[in-house]
Amino acid sequence: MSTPLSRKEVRARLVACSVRIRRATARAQIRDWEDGGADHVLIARLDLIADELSGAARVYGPVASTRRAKVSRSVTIGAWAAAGAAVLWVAGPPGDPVTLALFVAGTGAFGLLFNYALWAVRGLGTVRALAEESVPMTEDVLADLRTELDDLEERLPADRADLVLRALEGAELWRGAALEHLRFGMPPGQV
Amino acid sequence: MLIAVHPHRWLADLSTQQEVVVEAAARFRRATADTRHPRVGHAERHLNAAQLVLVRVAGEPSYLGYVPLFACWNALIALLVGLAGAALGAAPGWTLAAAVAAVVVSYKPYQWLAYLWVVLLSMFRIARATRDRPPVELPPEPDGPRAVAEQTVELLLGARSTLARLGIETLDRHRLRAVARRPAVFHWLWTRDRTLEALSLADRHLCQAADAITVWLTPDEEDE
Repeated sequence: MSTPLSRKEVRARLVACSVRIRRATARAQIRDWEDGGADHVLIARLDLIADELSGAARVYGPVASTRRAKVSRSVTIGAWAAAGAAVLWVAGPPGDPVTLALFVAGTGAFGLLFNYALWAVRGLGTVRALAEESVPMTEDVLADLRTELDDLEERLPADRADLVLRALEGAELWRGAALEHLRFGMPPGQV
Repeated sequence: MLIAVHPHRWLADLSTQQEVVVEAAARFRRATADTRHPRVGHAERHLNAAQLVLVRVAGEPSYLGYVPLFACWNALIALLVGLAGAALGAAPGWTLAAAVAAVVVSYKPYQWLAYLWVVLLSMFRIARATRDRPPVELPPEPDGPRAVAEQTVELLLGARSTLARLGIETLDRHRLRAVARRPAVFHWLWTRDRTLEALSLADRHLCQAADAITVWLTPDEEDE
């Protein structure tokens, strides 16, 4: 008997699966756009799988609150707060509405510049890394998903397992349909 | 840049597809009003979602565009609270604390106003781009739910091929165009570039709607 996972672990693994499927969807979509929008079926089924997986992850909490997003938000808010506190320390609290607006606009402008700088530094690095990264073939992503789903089904925590299981069954169903379409619905190796 | 700029023809083509999707969805809804089937419900949900997304595509600011919008909103809220504090004669410390609290509390109204701004701007731009365009002509509505459903799929797939072209044109105009078509970068752009995010999302909704209708039309083959 495998060790049950915690709710947090299940959510993290489901989010990771969902992101892998979304990337496969992005691959299918950009190829399809380049071909003039001829094959909607694969995109639809991959999107359905990702919807089911993120729906399952949402059972155990909001999926947007990943560590990276939290860190990014905390750093930005921290910069705004630090700028505001520094101005307050030097000049004291603003005594009239105009000074207050200037104070907010000043710290806001600093936060804005900080945000842009952070975006530029991190974003450009991310783009460079992503441009060199190859997204795995869709068949491989779907095959790996099967293994992951089987493992998750065995190790789900008892709490609200029925809801998650139903979503995982949905994901498995559409995984089969997507594979079927890949194998028989279009020339192999195209996506 | 606060507002993303699109060529006139791009906006006109987008508006044509908006009208096609709206009309196709209306015909499908009418034809399947008495049908209770999970795939029909699924298709309707995605058709509605696609319409909602398509309405705002043309007004979406760039990713960084939301930041100055948010900053201006916060400054406005702080100024209003500051004026109220001065009028009431409150202590500066309390006024500042109230301003910070108001900024935090006003996040939800900000989101609604930002959405409203995007939709209004989109509608204005589309109306301006399509001022001299003749009305969109669609094939006549056939009889019977199945025939309408088949026609809906055709119309949606036609709309998709135009959206695909618009998407590629948007990618080719993008500042990261050298790498924007690589799958990992394209996926990353989904969460960064609002126009691409909306185009991609609308396209995926149309794919799901068309696939759901096709599955419904061929129940023996794939319906579960």
